[in-house]
Amino acid sequence: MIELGRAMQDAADAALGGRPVVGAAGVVSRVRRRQAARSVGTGAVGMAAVGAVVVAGVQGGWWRDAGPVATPTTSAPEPSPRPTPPPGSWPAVQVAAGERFECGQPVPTILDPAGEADLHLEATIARELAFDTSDPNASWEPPAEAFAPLAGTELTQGDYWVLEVAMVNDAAATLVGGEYGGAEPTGVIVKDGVMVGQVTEEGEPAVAYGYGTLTLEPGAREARRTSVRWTACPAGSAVRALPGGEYDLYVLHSIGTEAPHKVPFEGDPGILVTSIDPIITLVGGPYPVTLQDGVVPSSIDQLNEYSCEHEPPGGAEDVQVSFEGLISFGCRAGTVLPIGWEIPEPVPSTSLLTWNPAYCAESPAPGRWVEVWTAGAGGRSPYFEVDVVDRRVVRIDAFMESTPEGIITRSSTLEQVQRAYPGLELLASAADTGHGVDAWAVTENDTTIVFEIGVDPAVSGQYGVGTVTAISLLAPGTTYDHPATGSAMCH
Amino acid sequence: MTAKRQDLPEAVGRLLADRGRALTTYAYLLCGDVHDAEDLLQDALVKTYARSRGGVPLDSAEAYARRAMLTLYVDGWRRRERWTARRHLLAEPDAAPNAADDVAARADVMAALRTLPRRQRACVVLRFYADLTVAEIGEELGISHGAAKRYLSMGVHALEERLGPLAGAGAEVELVEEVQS
Repeated sequence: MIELGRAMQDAADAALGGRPVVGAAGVVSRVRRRQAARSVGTGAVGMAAVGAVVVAGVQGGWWRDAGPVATPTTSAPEPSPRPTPPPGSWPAVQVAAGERFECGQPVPTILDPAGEADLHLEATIARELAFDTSDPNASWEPPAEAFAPLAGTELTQGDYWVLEVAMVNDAAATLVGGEYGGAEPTGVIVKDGVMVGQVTEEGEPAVAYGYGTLTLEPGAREARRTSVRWTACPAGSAVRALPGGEYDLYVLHSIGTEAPHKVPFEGDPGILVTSIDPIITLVGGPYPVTLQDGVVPSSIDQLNEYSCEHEPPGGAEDVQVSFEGLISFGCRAGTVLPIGWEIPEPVPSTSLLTWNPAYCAESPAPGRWVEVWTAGAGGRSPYFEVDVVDRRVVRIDAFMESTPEGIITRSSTLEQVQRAYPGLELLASAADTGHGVDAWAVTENDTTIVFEIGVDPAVSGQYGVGTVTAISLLAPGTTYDHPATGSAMCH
Repeated sequence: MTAKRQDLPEAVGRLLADRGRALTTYAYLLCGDVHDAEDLLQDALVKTYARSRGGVPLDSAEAYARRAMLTLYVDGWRRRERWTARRHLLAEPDAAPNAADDVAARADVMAALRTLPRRQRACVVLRFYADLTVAEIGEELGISHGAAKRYLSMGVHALEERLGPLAGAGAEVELVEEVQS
């Protein structure tokens, strides 16, 4: 008779064995990203703390004509003498009441007051800095000069970007609200008038912050930054890429009643959070942007604690072969070179490939697509090679040694490969081909990965016979017609 | 002590150092895969610490993390789908030498657990591994006492069909009869 509890414990002990417990750094990094909403007020910020004086001389309602801007003082704080109208009645560029952006739905009605005298959003963006998790004071925030207008930006999917959304009061009035809060700014992606994507949402409640008594002087600019990734609808913990191309982005910033309260945390009402019941949703855009193709975000960012500041787009040691193509475990986690990729014109700046006409100049078809790390070096790539037919990547041969623990890579043993790929079959034996390697293959969705296992010591490299010498990825319809190990690039 | 922002690395590191293995074991029993378990644990810890700007009491963090893992798992845990596509890339560690019977028994148990629907499996893990009562299981899963009984009973019966009689499962068997009657 099985003692189930003990059997489960034994099974877990056997499975976990001597594996190290997951590292704290990855958790810390992700937590910090979630907590990343920050106030970076610039210009004439008019956010007064609770209890600070409301600008004197408010006449004729909740806003007053522009005139000499009263200087807020904290020397004699007085509460607002009377209730102030809610933000919903402000002259602002906003989503019409009762409407909202929804995946798969047309863009909602956007109210834009006549003229330029309104409260509106302005958006800039910058690529996030590599995050040094070993430094508790490290910042992911790029310097101010790195931020560029959102309109016209070319965005890579899968990367973290820092989106700065500023509320700008161009109205000829001071906007005085009551005690309100704001949610983190966010954004949505629109194609042909329909919402198709948005900023990554991870299932967390909206992070809110308090405004206290909200006062926006004419010309006031209140900006907030948040760390974002773009994802296709529907949002959730799964981050999916959109087809590359031209899109419109809208940025949103909700202001409403801040409601600090205990919410069920996985069924337990024990954690205090705040959320916002929107009264007004300010909207900026549309901003035309280009989303680059071929960079597919993935969960492997959990392993992503490598710095990529000095070796963009990620070190070769972080790159590995998958059925999707070359994927990176580095700071540009995701598929960095998809198999079957149609290389666009122009080639994206983040591409791992570049055309080098000097390669194989003596061959019948001079020039080769080469990876950027060794472009121009004139020799064989130490990391990977590609076969491109009609600008389509049909084969990738990988020679790099990946460092993430547990990854099948060059130097892995045949036994390890077989355990990782139960469907592995011998495709071509060294005895038959004379190439010194056995080719073992596994296929999924017509894409094949070939592991070349050294048989001849002369080609087996430093790890010896019985280990992986190269890994080849074949696009559907591509035949394994030569080994990667020991082959000439200009074949 | 709370996990204030400046204390976050210390708080997370301390939790993982003290209770990381136990949490990973719990995750493994829920999802049945080492890599998924590590992924699930990370997700749960992120949810635990990211939600509270005021910090999570250290002595409560493990409980919050366990609950987060449980809820993530029972709710379907979409991240799992993404990992499935990559799992083949990961080499399983060499198995430690063990008696063949023990290995087979462990494999049987895990294989049997994998056949259970998520809620049933969660109930079984909570009952037999975490040693919770049926009432406590209901509270953990946010379901009624009766529903917890039903899930547990169905799970135990399914396991016994594959593994034979389970020690200490008598109460649950009776529950099945009660439910079926």
